[in-house]
Amino acid sequence: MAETATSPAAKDNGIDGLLDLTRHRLSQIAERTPTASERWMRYLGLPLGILAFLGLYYMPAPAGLTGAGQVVIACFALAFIWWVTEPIPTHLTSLVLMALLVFFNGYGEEDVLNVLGNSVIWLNVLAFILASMLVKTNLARRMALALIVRWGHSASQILLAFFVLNLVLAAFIPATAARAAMLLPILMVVASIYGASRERPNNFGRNLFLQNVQGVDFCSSAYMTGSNANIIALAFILSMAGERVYYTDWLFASLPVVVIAMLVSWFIGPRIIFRLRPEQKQPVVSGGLERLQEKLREMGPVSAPEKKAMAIFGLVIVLWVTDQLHMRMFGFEVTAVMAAFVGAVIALAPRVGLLKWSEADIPWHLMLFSSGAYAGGLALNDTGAARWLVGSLFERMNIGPGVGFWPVYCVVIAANMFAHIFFTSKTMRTLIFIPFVIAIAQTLGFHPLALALPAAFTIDWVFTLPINAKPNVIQYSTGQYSVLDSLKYGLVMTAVGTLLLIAAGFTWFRLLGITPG
Amino acid sequence: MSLRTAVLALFLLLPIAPAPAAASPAGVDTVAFLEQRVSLSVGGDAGLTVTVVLAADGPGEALLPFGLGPADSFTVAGGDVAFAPDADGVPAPLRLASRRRMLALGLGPAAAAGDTVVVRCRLPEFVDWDDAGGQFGAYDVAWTFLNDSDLSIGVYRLVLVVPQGYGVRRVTGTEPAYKPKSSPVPPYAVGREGGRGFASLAAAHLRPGGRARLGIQAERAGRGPVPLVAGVLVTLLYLWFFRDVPATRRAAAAAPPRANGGR
Repeated sequence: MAETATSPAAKDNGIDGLLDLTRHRLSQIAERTPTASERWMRYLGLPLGILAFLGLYYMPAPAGLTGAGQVVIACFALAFIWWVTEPIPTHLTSLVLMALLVFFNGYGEEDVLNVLGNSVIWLNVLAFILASMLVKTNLARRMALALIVRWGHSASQILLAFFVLNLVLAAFIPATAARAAMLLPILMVVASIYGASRERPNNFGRNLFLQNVQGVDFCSSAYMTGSNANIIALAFILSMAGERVYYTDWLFASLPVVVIAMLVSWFIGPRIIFRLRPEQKQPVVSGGLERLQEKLREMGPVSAPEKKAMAIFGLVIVLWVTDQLHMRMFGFEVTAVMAAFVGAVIALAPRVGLLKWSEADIPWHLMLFSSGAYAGGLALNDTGAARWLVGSLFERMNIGPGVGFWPVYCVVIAANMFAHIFFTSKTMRTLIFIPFVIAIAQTLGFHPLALALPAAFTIDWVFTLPINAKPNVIQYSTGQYSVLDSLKYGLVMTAVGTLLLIAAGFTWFRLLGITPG
Repeated sequence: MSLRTAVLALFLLLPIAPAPAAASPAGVDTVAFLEQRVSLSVGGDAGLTVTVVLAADGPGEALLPFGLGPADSFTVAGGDVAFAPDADGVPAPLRLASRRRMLALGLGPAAAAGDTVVVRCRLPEFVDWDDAGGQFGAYDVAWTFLNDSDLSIGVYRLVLVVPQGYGVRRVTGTEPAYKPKSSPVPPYAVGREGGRGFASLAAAHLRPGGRARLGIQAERAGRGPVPLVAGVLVTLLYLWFFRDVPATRRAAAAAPPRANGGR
């Protein structure tokens, strides 16, 4: 193995510095150096958000929308613009959003405050505790080194390896946040070895973390059990359209689309969107892979704390994987949150566990960020604003009787796919979109499955912004990329996904008998 | 029919399928459709329009649940229907039957299933706006309908129309409740009609003893100037005090140089 380029970071800190995750605490906010365009966006983003708010707040109330719904849309628009342009930190935007929702009577104070106790937030907190355990015991370092020694000959290989890993994990672990939390410390070590850190983000880090966000999210759409939202969509298809979809129906239809999307992302990410420089394509460690192999050897056999961490994390994973069997096994279901609870309690238990509370690296600012995003999402849902927006969208498209199947199919796929940018929960999007799609199919005389099943395949494509899904927030906590980076890559991949699903509708789904021949 | 109309029609029918005329376990519905439209006024009085679609032929008498407070100025129109006479033989719109106040309609021999009957009346002092006033200048108004008659109602619809110059802030509660996971369509809707905002609730197969409830918050239409002034002020202050943002690489001083030159 040839000597690889050595970065100043590596020279300064040495390989141990790169591998020492305790130096990169997620709970500490390090400000990234913005680019010139980002600085302008920051400057103009704040007035733009206020302008959007005022415009929507003062416009005449549209028919079918409650006053509270109008306020919530105005508040969400402001927050959305601020989250993207970052004139103030994203968590502060969330707090502003929560305050605006209350002050303008868009959503109840109690409802807003209760979001911090939402199971989603709990799962994030617990996932970070478990991740801290992996970091402290060096298990994360060992797994990352093993992965790199096996697959890390080049940036390209390691990026592909994580995609494949995500595809495999999605088959067994339906909780997307859990998957993201599992991989987080490993990703951080790998990023560090390739010279990417929060203080010094580079394009390898952007590709690595954003591809993992995508991997966690859209790999869920390969399997019927990939997320709860998939199951809800199928329940609607069964109850409203009377069509039962089996596991293999879903798998055969969606898996090829996901694999192609994965390969497209893997190809275009480091080559076009965030182009890797030659020095970013190899580990920045002086001595290259041999040095990393040496470090892995130096770690010696798996230590007792590592074994304990493996056991605790293994228990949680077993509970995540076997969720459908819990009723039979225990007489009750251990949800993803409660499984993480069990793991976190053991990890923090004196003598038995591995962590002290002060060692748990929980980025609370991200919990506030998530809370704001969820409060906004819930307010949009509960005031009927989201339903109204979706209804208005379809109404404006002027789809009526006499329109052929394919134009409707393309519109439905594109609308479902791109709509995720404005939603903070897959479940909410499913609850609103899928019944609409089925109703459209029934009204226009199309087979409901032909529209609803491909629309259901878009549910897990939620990677454009950190607010769009739990795993996105977890990965965003690393500070390795900006919201704008996420938006850029996300929009491209959303367009790719739309085109792929439309192409599949004309070909693969037709062959499977889902879309009309 | 536009797509929206079709979709809305479908959604409206979803929670009430099977069709209202279908037999309920208690027997054939005697009233296929009953709507109570309550038009609120700023003075506190309300106008009530009850629309009934009969599900049985005349002649006969129908005692419909009424349930509201004081009411006067009754009129009836549509089909061969009049207010049923009381014990003295005088037509009386309201009748006490087993301590329940019922709307008494006398069906003539020409009255037939499917006929639409419209009863109008005034509900004096229906809302005490002072009492209903809550935070943020919103007013809480709610109506619970109890089917205390012996009839099954195929579809019951309650419409609360807010006064001119007011809007529906939010729907605060309904019975039946909205359960998106089991039924994707909410039982309520909001809209505008003749320049006035309204909220409506639909409940299917309201059997004797069944309840329906709609709670809303009404608010004065139009927004005050405070958010506009505050928004403009914050914008101007921000643009002035942060005018260095586009030019300054503020984080550069805090962060060490990039390892790989950034992008």
